[in-house]
Amino acid sequence: METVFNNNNYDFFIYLSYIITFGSLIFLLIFSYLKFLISKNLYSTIIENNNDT
Amino acid sequence: MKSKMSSIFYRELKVQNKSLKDPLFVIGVYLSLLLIFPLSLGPSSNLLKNFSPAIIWTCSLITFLTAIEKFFISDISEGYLEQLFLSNLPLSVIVLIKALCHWISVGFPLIILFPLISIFLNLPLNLLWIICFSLFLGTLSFSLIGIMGAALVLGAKKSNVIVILIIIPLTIPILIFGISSTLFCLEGLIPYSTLYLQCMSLSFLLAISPIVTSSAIKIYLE
Amino acid sequence: MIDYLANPSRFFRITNFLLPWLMGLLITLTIIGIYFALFDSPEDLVQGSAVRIMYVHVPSAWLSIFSYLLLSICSFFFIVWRHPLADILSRSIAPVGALFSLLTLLTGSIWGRPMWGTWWVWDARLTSMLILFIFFLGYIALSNAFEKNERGSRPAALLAIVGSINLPIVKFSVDWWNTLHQPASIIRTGGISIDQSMLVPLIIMTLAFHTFFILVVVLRAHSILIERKVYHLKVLGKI
Repeated sequence: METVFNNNNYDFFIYLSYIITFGSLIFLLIFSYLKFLISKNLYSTIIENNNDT
Repeated sequence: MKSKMSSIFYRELKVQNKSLKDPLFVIGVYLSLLLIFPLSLGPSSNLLKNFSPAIIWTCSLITFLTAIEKFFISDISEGYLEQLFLSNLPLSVIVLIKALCHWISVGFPLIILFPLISIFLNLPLNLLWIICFSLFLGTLSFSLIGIMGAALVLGAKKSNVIVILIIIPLTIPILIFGISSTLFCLEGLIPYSTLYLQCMSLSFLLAISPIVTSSAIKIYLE
Repeated sequence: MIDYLANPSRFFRITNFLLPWLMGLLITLTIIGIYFALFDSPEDLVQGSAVRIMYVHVPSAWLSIFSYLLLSICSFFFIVWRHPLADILSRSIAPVGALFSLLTLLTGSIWGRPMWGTWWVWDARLTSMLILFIFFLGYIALSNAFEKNERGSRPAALLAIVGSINLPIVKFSVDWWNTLHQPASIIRTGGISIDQSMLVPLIIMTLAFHTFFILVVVLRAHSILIERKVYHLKVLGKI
């Protein structure tokens, strides 16, 4: 049975793929969230004063 | 209507081939691109024969994409495009005529030159006309896609980079079918299936490309 | 329902309300998904523990196709009905779709290294995914290529529609090209009939990725909406 089960250590690849995936996804999330916060706070007063348009 | 179309056709031909030397320049571009491959692959004829379909089609694609983004610029600056837009002729027909003239000035010299190229690349010459026919179908498709890309980036900054980014995914099926046709021809079989596929993509582009190009020109002219 | 949500200010208010809930849902699903994917799911008979990469690779692929479809639908809506929200949604979807297709390529390559021995193979699906990535890049480039940002909306929408017709042709031609030049190695995937214990982490990760997609698209749509409103106010001279 030993020949059937792989004893190779794939941990490096698993960690690499998960870190790349979740790292880039979190990066995109933070980037979009910062864009959202910046646009909201920077222009909130302008939008409120001109809410009739 | 017919006289209008023929006058536009002759005018386009004259504009795109200002002198008789212009087809020679196109041939020069093609030959210099072609020159890169034997120089980088080594002169042994085996490698060259294996890569020759790819070399032919890649060089023709790049030749078609040289300065494609400037296709409409002279017409825009002279106000010619607005005049055409205001005339009775539908813009799609005008776009088709322009694409045909672009093919005549860029693609036609390549196909005329092709027997010479086949000698450079040591290709077997028995099915030469079939390869020329598949090149004809493919290069006509390249013209249609190129004119569509040029219209989409009208008025953009850095249009020379963007237009290539847009056009390349659209040309990939044509490249695949064309290179397969040429590959089959080089092995001595007549590639009916891939020629049908090339005809299919060309007819599809003949339908889609004028519509998209004229919409894009109308968007620019607004 | 599309008409109801289509009003930009209504879209604004509803999604503003939904944002914290989406964030909470995303965190929950991600934690559950990672737990199941990395710790609780079984190993494959042939591939060993490397099958765990599948739980990231397959949802990325599904999400990239999903975002591409949504992009073409929104672009079609924009060309036909000229609805500004459709254009805003398309512009928000494009970067997310590009990232997902890039992640599919990267995770597929990392998965391929222990499985096939090479970092890259010109498989039909990988090549189509690469073309999809380039398509997303082209869309982003074209939509941001003009001085006045909204000038690029309609050419980019045209490009998306042409690309959406073109991409099945590309997939077909790349499949056919791949069968012509059969690769020497036999490619094994994670198994066609998937076991329940492997299906659960896959579904949870897919749901987590979908929630991520909705969240990021909504965030980006908000910022674009606000910027456009400010731009129009400037143009009208009210600022």
